[in-house]
Amino acid sequence: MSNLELQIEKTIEKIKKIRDEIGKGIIGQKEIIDKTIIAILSGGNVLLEGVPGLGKTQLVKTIGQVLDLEFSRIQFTPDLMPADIVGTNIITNEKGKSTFSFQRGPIFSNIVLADEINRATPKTQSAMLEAMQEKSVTVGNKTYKLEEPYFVIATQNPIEMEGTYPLPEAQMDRFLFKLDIKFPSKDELTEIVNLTTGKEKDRIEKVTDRKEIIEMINLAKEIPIAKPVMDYAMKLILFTHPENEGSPEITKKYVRFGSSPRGAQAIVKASRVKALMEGRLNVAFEDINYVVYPALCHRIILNFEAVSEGITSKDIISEIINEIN
Amino acid sequence: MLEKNLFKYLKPIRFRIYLKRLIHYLSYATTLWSIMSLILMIISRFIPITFLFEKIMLLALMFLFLGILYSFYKRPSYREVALIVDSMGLKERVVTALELSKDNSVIAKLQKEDAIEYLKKINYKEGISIKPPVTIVLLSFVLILTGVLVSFIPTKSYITAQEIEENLEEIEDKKKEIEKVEKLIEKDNLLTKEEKEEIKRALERLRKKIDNQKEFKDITKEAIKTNKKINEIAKEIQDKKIKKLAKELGSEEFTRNLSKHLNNKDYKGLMEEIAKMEEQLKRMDKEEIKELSKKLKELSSRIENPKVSNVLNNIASTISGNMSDSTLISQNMNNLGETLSNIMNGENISVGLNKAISVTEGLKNTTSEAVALGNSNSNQSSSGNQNSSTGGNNGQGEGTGNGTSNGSNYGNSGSTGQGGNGASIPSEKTVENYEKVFAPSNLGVEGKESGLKGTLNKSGSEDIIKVKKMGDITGESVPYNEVINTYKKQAYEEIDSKVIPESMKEIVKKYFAEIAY
Repeated sequence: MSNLELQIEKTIEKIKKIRDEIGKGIIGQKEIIDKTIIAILSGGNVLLEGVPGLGKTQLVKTIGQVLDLEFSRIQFTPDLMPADIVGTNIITNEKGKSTFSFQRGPIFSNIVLADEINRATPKTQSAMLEAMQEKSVTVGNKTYKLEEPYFVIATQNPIEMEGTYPLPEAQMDRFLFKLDIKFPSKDELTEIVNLTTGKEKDRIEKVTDRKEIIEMINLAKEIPIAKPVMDYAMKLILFTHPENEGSPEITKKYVRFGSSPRGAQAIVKASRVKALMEGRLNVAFEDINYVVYPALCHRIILNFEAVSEGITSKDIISEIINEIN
Repeated sequence: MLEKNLFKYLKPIRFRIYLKRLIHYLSYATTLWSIMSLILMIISRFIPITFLFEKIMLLALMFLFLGILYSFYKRPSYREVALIVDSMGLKERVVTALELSKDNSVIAKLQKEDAIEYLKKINYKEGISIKPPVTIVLLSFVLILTGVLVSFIPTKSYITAQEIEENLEEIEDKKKEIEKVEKLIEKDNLLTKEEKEEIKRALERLRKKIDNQKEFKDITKEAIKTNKKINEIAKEIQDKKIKKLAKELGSEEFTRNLSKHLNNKDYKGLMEEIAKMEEQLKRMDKEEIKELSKKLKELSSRIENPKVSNVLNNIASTISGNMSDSTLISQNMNNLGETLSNIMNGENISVGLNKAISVTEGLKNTTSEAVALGNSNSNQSSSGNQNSSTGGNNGQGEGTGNGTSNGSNYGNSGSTGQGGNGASIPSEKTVENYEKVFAPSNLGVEGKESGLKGTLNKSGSEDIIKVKKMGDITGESVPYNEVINTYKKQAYEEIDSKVIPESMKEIVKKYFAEIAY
């Protein structure tokens, strides 16, 4: 058995353990857990959307614990300033001499929880852009490289819109996945209550570490993808564009802007991880179909007609899949 | 090794997919064929379509071939096979492995091994069914059944098509006969090289016309032309022979008058002269008979025609041997008359020529019949090209105009010296153009026997005369050409079935061939 073979087996086993361990802290939400793991191993950022109290923050905390990564939390508020996130130069007195030294902000971590990201002003939100895409932070004339692995998990509340600043398209595009957290079922709710109000609590244990996560990310990148599967993924992206000739009628009627190339990258990267999670060494059509919704939903900008008729991005994607098949 | 293994497992799957497609395309081809056949079958009930079943069979072969060809064209590639197999739950393992066939990296190797493992386990026979599509098969069956049922509907068009088919087959036979005649002509010693060439050219032209036949009337025209040409050649040869024989006979006093009548082709005069000669013989004394016998023997040795020579020699022997047997002399003289008459009628000129005349005549009749059939069914307007009759009264032949009943078959029918030796080319009249004539319903049918009772005679017996009752004289007005054709057909049947002298047969044939319709 070769090293790679062993590594693959180990990775598959580790992913399974990570999933089980996170499951101890988060009841239900299996799909959200899987998709978050996929996003993390794809090296991408996740936007979690859901009403308060669904365990968004808990999920991120648990992930931090399980992955044994440095975790920081930023609570976004309207008065939060960029310097509060990235850090600032402060005057320090060293050996009787006053000098400027950089005080790192919470962004310098492996997992950053940007809680209620839409409450901060666009100026502050934009402070996250470079970190999310370039994995670096520039303060003054100095650029600081962020430590790998690095990913931002942001949350936002979809119902309480007063005093919020919706994320601009450019910011949204930086998120690999946008995941909608649904309300738990009766059984799940009972289990949550029992777990959180009882005496005994399962202790969350670390399953892996930083180094292993980087190895897993690199291994996922090696999973081959056949041309028909790649073509299928590209078609999905092209069909979200109303100006594209072959696009289905629903796209032409309800879509204002289609997905950016980042959407295609997101699908391919995430589908590779999905295949690996399944213990498969190639990407299948079903992997693409699994990741296409969280990868494209926030990248398709609908027009007024769609909003007025209650058409969602999910409807558009479903129709595109039907059209291609 | 891994690649080889991969293809080893893919090969039988590929073959099965190919087989499935072949069966499917053949099923579709059968449906298309049955649709086309049904359409043809329905059309054939209204418009005469010749060789319908052959055409349907040809269509079947064509569609079968197209089905096989199309399935070969659509034979699956390995990539296509891989995608089909993947769709059976292999989750794009095979197509990826196929793409990685030239990749030697560790991950590619592991992926290929994984794909082969799954390929081994798959039951592709269950996933790739080679059963033909039931709906298509049922549809084809219904269409074929409908076609068969339609084929049992008898219509005039269908019967006409069958008659045309028979004519076409007959024309083909005639073509073969022409080829045989060409060989006979080649071997014929009685014809000169130029005559042979001319006849061969005419026959070849006719043959080509048959090969490139588009319309029966064209073949008819060509057959008439060829027949005329051969008749002309035959007439020339006959004339030459008669003149030569007349010259030979004219060299002797006893047969001089005979020679004149022969030269003039005067059958009546010839017969009268023979009777006179017989009388003359009876009146001669022994010495004269002896002298005549000697001269006749000398004459017979000079005459080229073996039959005439033989007859004359017989006469000479008879008169020198036993002059008292007048029956034998009369018999010999009758033989002479018959032999000369036959020569005048053109018999035994050349076997090849006679055959050529008979074949072209037959062909002409067959195609005329086909034209008439076509005309009576097409019901087209008469605005088409109407060929004028070039034979009959308009002929500029060499008729000598005796008009006797011996009826040479070379067109000596004119009574005024402008007799037509040209045969008539049927005009392209349509049914509406032909004058309608009354045709009794018993035309072409056998009558029934019935006895006519007479009155009682003195002895108490009764005379009963048996006659053929032809039924009631009922009938209808039908186009002239149809009536002619019925009569013609009956006459030809009579010729074939009964003992009729050869010369009379020709007269009957000539009559119907030249009759304008």
